[in-house]
Amino acid sequence: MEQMQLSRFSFADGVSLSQVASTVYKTNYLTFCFALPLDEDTAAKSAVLAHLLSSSCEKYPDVQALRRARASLYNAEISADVSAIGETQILTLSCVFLKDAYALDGESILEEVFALCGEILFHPLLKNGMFPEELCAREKKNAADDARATLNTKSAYAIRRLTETMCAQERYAADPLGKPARIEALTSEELVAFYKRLLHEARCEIFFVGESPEKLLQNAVRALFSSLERKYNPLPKAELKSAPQSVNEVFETLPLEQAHLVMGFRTPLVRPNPQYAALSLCNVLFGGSASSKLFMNVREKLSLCYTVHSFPEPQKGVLFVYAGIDAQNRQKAITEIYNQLLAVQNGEVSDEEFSCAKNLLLSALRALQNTPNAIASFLLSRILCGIENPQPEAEIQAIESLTREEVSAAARTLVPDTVYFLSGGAR
Amino acid sequence: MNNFQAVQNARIDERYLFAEHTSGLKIFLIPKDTNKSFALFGTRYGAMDHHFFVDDREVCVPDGIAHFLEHKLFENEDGSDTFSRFAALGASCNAFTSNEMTAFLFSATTNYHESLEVLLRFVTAPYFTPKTVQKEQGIIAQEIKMYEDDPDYQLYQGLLQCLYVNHPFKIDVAGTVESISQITDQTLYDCYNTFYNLRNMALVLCGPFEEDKVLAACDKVLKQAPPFSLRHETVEEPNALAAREIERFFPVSMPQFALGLKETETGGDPKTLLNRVAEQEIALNLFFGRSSDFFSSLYQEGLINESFSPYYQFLDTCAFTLFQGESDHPDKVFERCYDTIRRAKAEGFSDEDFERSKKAVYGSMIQSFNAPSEIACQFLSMHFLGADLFTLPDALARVTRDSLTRRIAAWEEDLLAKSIIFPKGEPHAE
Repeated sequence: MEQMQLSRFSFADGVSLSQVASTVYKTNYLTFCFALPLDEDTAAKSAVLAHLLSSSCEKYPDVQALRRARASLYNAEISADVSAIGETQILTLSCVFLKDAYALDGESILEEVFALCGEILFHPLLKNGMFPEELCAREKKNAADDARATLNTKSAYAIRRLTETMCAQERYAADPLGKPARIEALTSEELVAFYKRLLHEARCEIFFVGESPEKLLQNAVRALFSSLERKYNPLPKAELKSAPQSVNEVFETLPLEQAHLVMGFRTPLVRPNPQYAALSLCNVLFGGSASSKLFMNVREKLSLCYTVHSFPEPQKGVLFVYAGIDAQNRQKAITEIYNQLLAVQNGEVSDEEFSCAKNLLLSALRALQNTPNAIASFLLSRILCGIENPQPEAEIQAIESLTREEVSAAARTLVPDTVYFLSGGAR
Repeated sequence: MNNFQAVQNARIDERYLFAEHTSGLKIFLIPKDTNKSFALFGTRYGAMDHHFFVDDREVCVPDGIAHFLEHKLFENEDGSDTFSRFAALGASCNAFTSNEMTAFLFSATTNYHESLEVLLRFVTAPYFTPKTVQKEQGIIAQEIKMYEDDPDYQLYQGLLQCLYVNHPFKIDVAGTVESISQITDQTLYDCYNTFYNLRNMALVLCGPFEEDKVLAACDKVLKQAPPFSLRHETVEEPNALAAREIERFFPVSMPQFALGLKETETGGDPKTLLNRVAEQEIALNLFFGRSSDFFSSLYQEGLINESFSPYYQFLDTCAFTLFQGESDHPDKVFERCYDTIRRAKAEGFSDEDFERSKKAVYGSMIQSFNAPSEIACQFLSMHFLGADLFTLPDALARVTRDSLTRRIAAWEEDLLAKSIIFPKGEPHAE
């Protein structure tokens, strides 16, 4: 397979541009990621700031003016949102827009979108140095509503609640969407101070996947950051904890038809540890695919659920198992999930299972190149944990050479920490 | 002879190849120079097809059977697992059922043609027994319970109950725990033998497939299908709502709404359908899109947030616009939506708004030709409606001020229905 053509450029302290040439899509993908250590305060402020930035700027002071500017750029999608990778809070401004070849009047959509991003990021709507009160109040409400909306997807809500209880004393417990009460208490002064901190202190990773004239973006990024005095503090590594002596059990209720079981495991294997590759293959084998042990046994053999899967958090050293089940089957499901983990730990894995899991993981890495936003998130997650020139090909080689014993050894690092159960009576 | 014919659209820089296989299956190949391939093998059979005639024998099947059948086709007579067959080739497979179609798919970065053979083979080899049917009832019951707790799904189902008096579009794709308990291996075979006729199916491939190898895979697996004829029970749908509103209570963070504007103008040839789709997309962008006066004023007043979006849903026999979002005051959103429809008809629109919306919809449409999976799914849906997705850009270019004005004139604000979910129940620890 061809190497991904990645070029990395560093500008001011902690500001880099990663550029990947791609002709696959008819659109370009440009994203600005600002990273700070995750905690409840940063999360609440980032969440509101993302809303403030995406709804106004000095040049386009109301939502309609800003939206009309985007509509005229062939409906360029420009949005800001917040997320977390391990114990790092990320505020992202991302843009998807037509390549210049599709412009009807020969204009450069790329240059105009970049200029608009510059307006949004560097010239927010301020009055006397403050975000206007009305704007602030509205976007605080929108951010708080967003944070509360996790409740509407019950599986996501159950996973969030597990994280909050299992990691209660760790940064990782903070919801990157912010706590509603904390969001509502923020003042315009605090938000302006946070905005300045973000520009000056956050790590800023910019990604471009698509087609652009040579050096255009390098020059544009340099110009954008040239007047900033940066004092970047390197991001701390996520705290790795071991599981308690006995498993914590948490029970909650809501008026629901289906019950939700989430199990949290700890592992010391995190990126960039080379052994993380074995854990990621172990996950595919255990519960990360439709031919995994959990799917084949908990769902297909025992008919206990429709959804069951496992997924690791590569930076934090945790792995989650989720299953949507009937409340009465809680113990049956837990027992079977432990049984299947034990099977992987003991190397009870057929040749077919092992090669299926490997093929699926390799295929996912090979497919990356076809999706611009997947390329960008692949790069961001690796770069943030110190991998300087991330290449899917390097990971492909590492996975190809994995043995069954290495995968079982990775599975043996998984120790259960907390079992969370959300159930309800009849509505 | 199976000669592929090329169809080109220069406007979007896309082309596809078409052939009808000797078995009766229509094949559409959209070549892409990527390492990822996507294949979609579908039948024009969905939840809507619940009442039909086989050789003059009237058949009425339980709700949810098309979806159940989709699940059961993954079962193989030799006991092998379909997901693992694909995984062995490095491919991932899946399937979906909607009101009007069922489709099976895979994506792969190697072994494209081998994976295609597996796809064709498992979909054309049904194997149902009372035991395997019973096993699936447990799994699907959990899927149904998941939907019962899913506010988006429930909002949408509630809205369909308001919009349609008789049209089978309102049938719940998943069915109920009770309805699927009536499914037997025999009813599954009845439906399979009726609708999984290759002449009622199509194969859409997007990616680096090779024509000869595609045909070779088809030759190897597919047998000539018998003639296909199907008579549906005919339904008359009145130009009225079944109900104006439905309200329900769920554990959600704030009230959720789905408003639906029912259309009475349906039918016509594929070109008419595409014109209607293009006009409606522009009209919705103009009056309800992110840069519209409607969105802007309701957003400023805090009545809607970023989650608000209009979607046009259409088949050949029914169509409506869905306005979905969340709001502390969903009734006010309904009123403003109603007023906006009325005013749009009375006051029209400016040239500037028309040009901007046309450009915005053009941008979104070009963008929809990005991902192979998205292209293939849209292509197949359009094909089952008798239309060609690749002519949609031309339909968009044809939209004029006059045609847009006529389209808006067909909106009937009194056919606007609302489905609302209000919050209930605070989470608590035991």
